[in-house]
Amino acid sequence: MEANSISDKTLVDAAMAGPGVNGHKGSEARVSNPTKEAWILQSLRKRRSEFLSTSTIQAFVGTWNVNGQAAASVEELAEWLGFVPPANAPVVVAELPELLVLGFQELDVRAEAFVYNNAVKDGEWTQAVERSLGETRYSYAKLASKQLIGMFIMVYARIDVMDEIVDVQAASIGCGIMGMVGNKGAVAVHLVFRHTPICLVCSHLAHDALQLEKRNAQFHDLCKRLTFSSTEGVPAADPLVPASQQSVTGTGAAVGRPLTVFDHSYLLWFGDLNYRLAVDTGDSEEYIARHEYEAILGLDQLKISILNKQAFVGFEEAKVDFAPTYKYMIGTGEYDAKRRPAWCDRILWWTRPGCDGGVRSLSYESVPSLSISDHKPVRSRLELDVWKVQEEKRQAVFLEVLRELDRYENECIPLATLDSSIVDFGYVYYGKPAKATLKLANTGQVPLEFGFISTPARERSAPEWLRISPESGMLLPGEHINMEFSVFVDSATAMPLSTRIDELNDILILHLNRGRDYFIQVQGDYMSSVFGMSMDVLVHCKRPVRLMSREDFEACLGSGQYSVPVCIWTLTDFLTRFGIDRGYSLFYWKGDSELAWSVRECLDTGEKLNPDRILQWQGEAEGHVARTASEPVGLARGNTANLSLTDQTLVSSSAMQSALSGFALSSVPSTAEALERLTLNPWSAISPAQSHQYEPEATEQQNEEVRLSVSDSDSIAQDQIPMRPSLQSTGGDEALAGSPLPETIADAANIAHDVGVDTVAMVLVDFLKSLPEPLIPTEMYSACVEAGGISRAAALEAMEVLPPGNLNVVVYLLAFLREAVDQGSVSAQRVASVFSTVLLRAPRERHQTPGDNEKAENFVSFLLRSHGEI
Amino acid sequence: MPKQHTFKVVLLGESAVGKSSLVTRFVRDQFDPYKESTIGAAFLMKVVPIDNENSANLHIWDTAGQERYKSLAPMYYRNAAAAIVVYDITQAASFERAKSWVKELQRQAEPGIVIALAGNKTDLSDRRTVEYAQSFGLLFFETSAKTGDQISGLFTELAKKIPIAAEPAQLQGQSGVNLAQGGNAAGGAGDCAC
Repeated sequence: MEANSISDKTLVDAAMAGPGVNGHKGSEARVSNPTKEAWILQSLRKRRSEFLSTSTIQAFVGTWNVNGQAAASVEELAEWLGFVPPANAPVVVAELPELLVLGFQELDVRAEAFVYNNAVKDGEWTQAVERSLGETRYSYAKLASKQLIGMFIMVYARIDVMDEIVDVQAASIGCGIMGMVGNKGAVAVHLVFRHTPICLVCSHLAHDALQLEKRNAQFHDLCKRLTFSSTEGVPAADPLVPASQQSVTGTGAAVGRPLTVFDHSYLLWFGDLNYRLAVDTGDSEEYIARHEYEAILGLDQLKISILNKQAFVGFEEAKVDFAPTYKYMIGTGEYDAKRRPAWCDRILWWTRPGCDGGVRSLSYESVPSLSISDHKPVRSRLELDVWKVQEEKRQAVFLEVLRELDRYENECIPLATLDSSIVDFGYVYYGKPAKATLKLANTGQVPLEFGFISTPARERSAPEWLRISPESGMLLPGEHINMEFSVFVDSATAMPLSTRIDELNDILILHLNRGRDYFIQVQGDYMSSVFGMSMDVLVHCKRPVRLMSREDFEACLGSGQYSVPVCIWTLTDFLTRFGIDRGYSLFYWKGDSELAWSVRECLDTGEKLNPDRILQWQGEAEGHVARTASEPVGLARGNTANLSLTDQTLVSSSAMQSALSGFALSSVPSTAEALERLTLNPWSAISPAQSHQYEPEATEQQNEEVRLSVSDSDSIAQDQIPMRPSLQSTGGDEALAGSPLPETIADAANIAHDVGVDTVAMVLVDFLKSLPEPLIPTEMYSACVEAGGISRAAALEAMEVLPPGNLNVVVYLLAFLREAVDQGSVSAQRVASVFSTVLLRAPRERHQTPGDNEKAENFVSFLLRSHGEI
Repeated sequence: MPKQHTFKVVLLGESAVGKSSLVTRFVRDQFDPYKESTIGAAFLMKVVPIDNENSANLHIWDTAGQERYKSLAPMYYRNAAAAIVVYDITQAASFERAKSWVKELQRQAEPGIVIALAGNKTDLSDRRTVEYAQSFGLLFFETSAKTGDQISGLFTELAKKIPIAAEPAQLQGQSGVNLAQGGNAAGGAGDCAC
């Protein structure tokens, strides 16, 4: 039965291969999961009636061991065949069995027939059989016959069904003397009726009551050795397999593998199987005489072998309701007393799994009246279901079954809905966070694990400027989560965006564990800014950065450069003219963030700083107007549905345009001109203290000061406490000692200041802090701090390695600051305190020591006092 | 142990030419001819050997139709070391679309991008309407995701053609100053203000 498992496997391969690959060698098409295959087969089988058109045929099967006798008479044969109508009666073709299958044993028992395999009697018997059919003869055509010494099989088909039978093959195997000679063995015929492969085997097995095991062994031997060639295009044994796939049945392990007797839908096995009664109870003749066969059939070796699974396992037989067919005295109906009667002559059948019930017996009997042999002939009328596969319907059912499987599988796959595949932040500005959310819902029936996966363009799952929260997680069915996307461009990420080498967009991959992937596009329009841009590039920019394309940036690098970036000049120029000039204090007060944003926009877009607007800034009131103004022109973009622009304060550009008049690009001044403008103005302290306080990025020391201040004056709100300039004099202020400088909180509170000026000063400091690399490169930090602990000369020496480009800017800034100090707008101490964190930045890897901040301040003080020496 | 290099590979082509099947066959050696729904794995990885010292970890982006919004396509092929443009040999229109993808890639994608053209569905060659295509100097394969024909050849040859230097590194700056990075490279010959 091992053949079964092979064909089961291969037929699925074939079924999966689908149509159109007929004869495609080594087709790799397959459903990879064997359990899935089994399910598909089972489902197809359940629905086979939908694509098989089944009809029923009849087969007459007869077997007769003729004991080497001359051919029987026409009358005798006619009696055996039974269905042949009398000579003058009309032949009703439709009532005749479609198949006529006759098997003989011991047709030729001459010794030379064994030796030379030259048996000649088949012709004699064939003629006798055909004659016995009378007029019916013309209703049949011979399909095949095969003789092996004494064994002879002849198969006839009714002529009207001849067209429906294809691939007729005959085969024979001897398994007698030496296990090879054809005194025992089988002759067989393979045919395909419509789309139903049928195998007919006539066999003669070892005789003698004691040879049971030999008979069983011969059966297995014949099963193994009886084969037919597999023919391309002939239906496979299982109707579930498409008709065109016969060749693919052998695909894979065994292409073109021969068909065994089990590679058929039906296997009819008949002949002198020679099984006897197991033990002599002594009274079997009495039962036989009383026709009580049931009582002794339990002793039948064939029944016992089937029961014990020793041979013919899975075969079926109609009820044996006739006397044992062996051994009679020739010419009589009497048993030969020397042998025990036995049912040697049998007709069995096997149906392939899935074809169960396809063979039914209508009659099963012996013909005791024929006595030319020591065996009585046996005959059976069988009814067989044969089918035609309707290939298109089979294909349709197959697809439906797969779809059904798909549906079940999909229910096990994590399913989710994502409310959009696009995250659009709209306009994104330096240092201003923007947020958006996407809703991910588990709409499947299993827990959903999700996560963003990294791609080769970056090691993280999201670009540097993007944060996702959460980046991974799990949702139970029905749950959902709002994934928050926040974009924040800072000095670490601004440069490629500002110079438009990179864009503020990317594709994220959201992966569902065991499920699908989503591509999520994240996009925003980054508004190029001088903030976060490197000094090297800024000094080359002759146009506002917002207006420059990537090509402009690339082109400008090759052209001449300014000593000082336009943005620095713009800010210091404003402070010189409206801060120092009018006697306001600088770098003590925090400006207005709203106004600061406007100022920054001017730097980026080239809008001119409007002194009237800035100096008359009314803080909250103005800011409120700006905040509630409509979003910037052009902000309304395609998909902003899922966008929540929280925390992002946008000022309408039209509002800004009304506030700030145009900035003439052609009027970019030379550094020389700029320096000339750093004119001195008398300092005056009149205007009352306002509530804006400048807070430089707090160092540890400064934090301590703030804490002290708060504890000193609990009643004062923290944001109203002016930043206290450093109280410890480093002894470096002698040159500036004459100026009326604020040295204490109280002093600072008495100095006039203006929120507009404070704001511009704050923007200057913030801008310098946004440089990706500080004006004095981090690699110089250690040397500078060290010099700050030594002397002015040491500081100047440390500055000698400063790149010339940076030096220009530092010199320019120092000149401006010196001016401010000279004018009394700020103390040298305050400058040192604020600008030590601006000009110098500790490298990340440096281990800071307690005195570092102080030394850094000293270093800046030294520079401030080194006019013309750097 | 060969050194592994990671490359992004995008698949482009008209819908229903078999892009997903192509990748699934390559990565998982599976093909479900009747599969109605697909799990929708759009991002798959597979390591293929290049030579004795190197292997390529291909990150394959199966854009699954998103690229039909033409304006979005550049985002998909950005940073891609290679692209596979797929058409269906039984659909002439898909070949026309493939040609326009190739042109777009040659014009818009990173200059060094390796482009392969794949005529899929050779298992249906009796319905062929696109003759064996001129290769336009590209890598060219006729494949069948169904039978697996030429699939691994396509990806292996593609991986071999990608210069190892195409592995994503920080974008290179130009003309001495690095625009991409916020570095403070030495400033060159600026006029000193002092």
